[in-house]
Amino acid sequence: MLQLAAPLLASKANYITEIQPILQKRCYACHGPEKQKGKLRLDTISTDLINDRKAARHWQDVRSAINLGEMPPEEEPTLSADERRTVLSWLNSEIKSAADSRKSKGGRVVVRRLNRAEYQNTMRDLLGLDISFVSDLPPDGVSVDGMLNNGSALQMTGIQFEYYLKAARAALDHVITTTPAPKVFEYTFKKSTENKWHRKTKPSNRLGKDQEFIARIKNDYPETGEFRIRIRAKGEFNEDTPGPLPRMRVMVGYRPDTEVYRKTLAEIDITEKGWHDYEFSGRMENFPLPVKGQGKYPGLVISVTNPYGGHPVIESLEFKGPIFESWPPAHHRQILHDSVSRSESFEPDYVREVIERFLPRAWRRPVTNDEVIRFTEFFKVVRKEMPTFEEAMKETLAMALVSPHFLYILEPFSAEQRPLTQHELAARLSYFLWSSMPDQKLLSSADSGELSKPDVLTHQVDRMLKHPRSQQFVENFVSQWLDIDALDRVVIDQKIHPGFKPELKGDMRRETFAFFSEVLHRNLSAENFIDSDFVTVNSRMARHYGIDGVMAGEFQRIKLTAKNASHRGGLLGQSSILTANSTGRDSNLIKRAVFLRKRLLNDPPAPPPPNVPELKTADPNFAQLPIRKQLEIHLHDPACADCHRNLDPWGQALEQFNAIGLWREKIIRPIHGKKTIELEVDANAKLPDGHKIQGISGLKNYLKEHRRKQFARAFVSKILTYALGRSLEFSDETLISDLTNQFLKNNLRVRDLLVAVVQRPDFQTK
Amino acid sequence: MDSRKPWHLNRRTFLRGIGATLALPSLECMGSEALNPSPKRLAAIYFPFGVSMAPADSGKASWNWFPEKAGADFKFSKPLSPLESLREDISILGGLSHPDVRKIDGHDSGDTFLTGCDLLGRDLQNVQSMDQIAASQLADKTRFSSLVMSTDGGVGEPTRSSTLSYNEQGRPIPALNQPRQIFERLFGGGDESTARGRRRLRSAGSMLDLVLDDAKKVRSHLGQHDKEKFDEYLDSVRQVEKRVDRSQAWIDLPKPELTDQDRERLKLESDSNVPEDYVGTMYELIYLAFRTDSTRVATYQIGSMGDATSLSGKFPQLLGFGKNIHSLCHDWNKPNGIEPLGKWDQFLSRKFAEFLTRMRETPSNADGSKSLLDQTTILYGCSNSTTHNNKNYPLVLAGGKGLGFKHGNYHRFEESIPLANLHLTMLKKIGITADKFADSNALIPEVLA
Repeated sequence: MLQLAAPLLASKANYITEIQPILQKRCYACHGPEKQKGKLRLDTISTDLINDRKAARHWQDVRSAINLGEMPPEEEPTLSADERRTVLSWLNSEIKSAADSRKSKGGRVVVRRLNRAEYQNTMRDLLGLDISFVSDLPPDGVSVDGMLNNGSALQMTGIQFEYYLKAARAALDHVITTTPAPKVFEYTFKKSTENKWHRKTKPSNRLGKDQEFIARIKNDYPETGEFRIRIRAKGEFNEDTPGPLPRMRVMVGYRPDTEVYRKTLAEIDITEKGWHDYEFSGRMENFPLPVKGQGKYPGLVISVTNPYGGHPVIESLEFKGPIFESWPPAHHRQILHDSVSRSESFEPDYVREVIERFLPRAWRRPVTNDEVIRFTEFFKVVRKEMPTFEEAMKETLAMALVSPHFLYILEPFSAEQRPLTQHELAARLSYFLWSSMPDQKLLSSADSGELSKPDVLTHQVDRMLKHPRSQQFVENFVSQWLDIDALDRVVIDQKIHPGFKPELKGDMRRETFAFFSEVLHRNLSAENFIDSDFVTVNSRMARHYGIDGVMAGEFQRIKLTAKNASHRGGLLGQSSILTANSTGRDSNLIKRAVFLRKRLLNDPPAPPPPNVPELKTADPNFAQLPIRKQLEIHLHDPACADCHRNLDPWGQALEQFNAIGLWREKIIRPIHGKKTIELEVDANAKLPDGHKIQGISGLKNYLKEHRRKQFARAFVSKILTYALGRSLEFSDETLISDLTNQFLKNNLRVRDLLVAVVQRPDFQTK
Repeated sequence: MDSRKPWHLNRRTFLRGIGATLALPSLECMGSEALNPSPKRLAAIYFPFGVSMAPADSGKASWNWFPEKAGADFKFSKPLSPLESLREDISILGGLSHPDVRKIDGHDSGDTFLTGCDLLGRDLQNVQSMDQIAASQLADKTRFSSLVMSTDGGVGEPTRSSTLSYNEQGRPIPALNQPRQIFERLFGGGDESTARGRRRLRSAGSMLDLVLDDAKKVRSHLGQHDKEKFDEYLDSVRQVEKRVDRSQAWIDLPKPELTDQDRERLKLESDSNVPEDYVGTMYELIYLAFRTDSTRVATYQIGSMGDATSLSGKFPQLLGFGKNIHSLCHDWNKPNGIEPLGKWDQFLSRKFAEFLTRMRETPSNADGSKSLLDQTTILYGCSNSTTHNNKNYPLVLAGGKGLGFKHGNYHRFEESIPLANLHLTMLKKIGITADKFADSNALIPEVLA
């Protein structure tokens, strides 16, 4: 949140010309040279809130007293609304900038721990094993900017460290194998193994509504390792009435009793006629598994359903697992490699080789001889305790995984800002664009010393954005920027929105990711986030929006026309945003307004002041008033009015969308139990700067015309905050405005902005 | 679709091979002071955004959280009615708050419920919380020094903390929020029970030495801001070293066994989508941790004040009271808002009452003369009276009759009395050495026998 404090001098002038006269008139009589009620004297108190902490505390008390309406006291004339606003806004900004200044890190990146997502991805990429490593780790702290990769907010405590050690050991137990090659199970199912299944669904080869293909493997199936499912299937296509494409959803789990616990392995559209083989793979560890022999329906259950309404037909389903090309598996041999020194007589040499191979990958940089020796010595110590070589080696490597060199992005200090080393740069890049460790290509480029060359860097950024791992940037950045997880915190009232299925939240979320992805990968303008002439939807979102002709389950770009849903363009027309900022029953005008100001314009409204007197709402018909009337009650009270006047209109303009983001002509509001009332949609708003707009299209046009620069700056700030892993400070002003100007000149192209950020010295220095 | 269901309990149980031992009696008291007849304990429970304070003339005054009249003959309000059968084990307290926290923004006071510090004046840097003062003094008595839980888990962000507990440096302690994980920690056989686990416990000692040694070198190459941040890492390693040492001492004592009935009550796969089961299970875990003397200090934040970021926000919606907690609380004085909010308050009281009842039904010592509840002092409440208002916290003080507390009353206090006086009283009564806590200036004699 970059609310830059006005430079000190300007603020001083402002104090003398605007604030002091008010205080003189209203306060000095009791808190001045004559009297100092409450031991407070305001005419001589320092206005340097940054350096004088005692004064700062007095000013906080002053703010509180004014907010509460305690001062001036009842018998004295009150502050006029203007005076009140003037004094409070000065106090708010001074108190905030004093706090910001004390929190300042001198505009430099603070050492930071890998966050949960980064740790998961890094462990996966380092160990070559795609299972969860983070189930015991607590959620990360969120920074004031809403980011999860801010060094200051990512803390470490004993309990976390304990779980890091536990996770490291468990991961190595998984990766390093000490058992002989496991038995491989293979099955082919021509029809469902069950005759009856569930009161809701019936076993079948043809998958219509409420039909499933069920393959239950009672006893002999693997509990760990990779498995493969191959399905031979075709789709029934109806030439006359085209509907959604036949789509298969493959799920793996078990059924203890009435419920089936399962997770989706994959979903796929059938796009071509005729029989085809479809292959999917996963790891057993990632699916809910039964206790062998337990439950009413013992065994592993593989089921295939059709989530969209077309008709896939299954000829056969094959299961094979565990799958490995060799034994021990590749992830084992990546660490305990084949080597001539791997025999007892050469054990010390082999130990050294293993460590020399593992450490630089784990620590994302070359390691020194001393560092290697620390590990070989530790190995010697634990080797005496442990029964096998492997057990001792696991313990040794676990030490590398709880070391600060692994858990933190460490950039040693120098008094002057210094360029990052090649490997530090590689790590910054990979955590920015992949939320994970550098791959071999990036490390090689760093090894060669070429990475920081502008053309090499640009080439790497290009390559990295084309890599599937860039999806991790899309999902992490978008989630944090727009707080998409808010979707999980709203419960949709299905009595009021009977068509809504909670599953749709997943599609809503994916729509926004897909939309961002489209803009990023095609290097389109960020203006599309305000308004676009396309949406990215799958058949389910299209049906939700009432857009015809989208048959596929995959997300795709669809051009908007005046006929199909032109109001859907941009983020503000997306159900993810509209639903996340709803009450679950109706729109939440204030949340939507806060979203717009905080997330899109980087102008977050001040939080509610302390001890706000409650609204006096004697009106017994309050619940039946239009939202505008309800909110007007705020405006009677100056404590509320100051903020709400600048807030409410933004949300009013979005009133055309209901709680789940559907367009509405009428507002149906539940009053009591089943009783509802109907209200007119009122999306006319007078914005704080006096512009009058109508509804979503008015809002978008206004934003494009009058707030383009502010939005560009806000977006640049968000990307920078994420890229640098720190909050922006006053000293970043030049950086932000340079990048913003460049961004505006370049028609707000998003991929180019990422390249520009990476090319900046700020990204490349510590 | 959902993989986290109750059946898992059995699976893990059987995998651990405990199935065969289920019939064994549970070991009630596993602490190092197994002979100490009556350990003293402390718990704190928090809920966010305040309560219904229906005005007298609203026609719904019975939904006001606070009883109408103070004194020993007070009548339970509707929101508190589930606690009626516990009348002699609780005191209702009105009027208290943390004076230094009154000027902070309305929703920012949750962080200070157990610390009472002037967060704003300290740039949001908190101080050690009351429970952790107790935990550090009681640390060597139990396997775990404290149990810190919340619905959201982790630490949240300053002013929107998702934990009640702060360590010696004033840093938030991440709260655990997965019942399964908490259960495994307290009662799981886990690694420590196997030969490999024991070997690893031994090697952890030398590993942590080396890690710490290296980390100190790293620190010397860092700048000032980095150093401050990195100290968290050093402190963490040291804490775990201590824990490893302590685990060595505990290694020959098996973790406590639970009975079949205990297991039935736990819904270990429940999450914030099922508030009834989830909140109940979290309370049950505190109860079991106390009963088995696995720890003597526990905190549970039922919801955080991070309206937009809290998983608990939707609890009232899931329970059928219409709105999320924050909106519900904002409606406390609206004609149609009083009752739904009161019902939410009532739900919270009911879950609390279930917990207290469990504690009361369980003897704490061999002759059964004292219950767990008698030996535990419990603070329950919120740092807002109505939403945005940081005064007059709605509070219930429960349990501890065996520690010298006296109950069965509704006390109203002057605004000038700092809540820290109550914190200090609680600490003293469980035998903690402390002369002062935060801005305390006395004890609260009204709640003492």
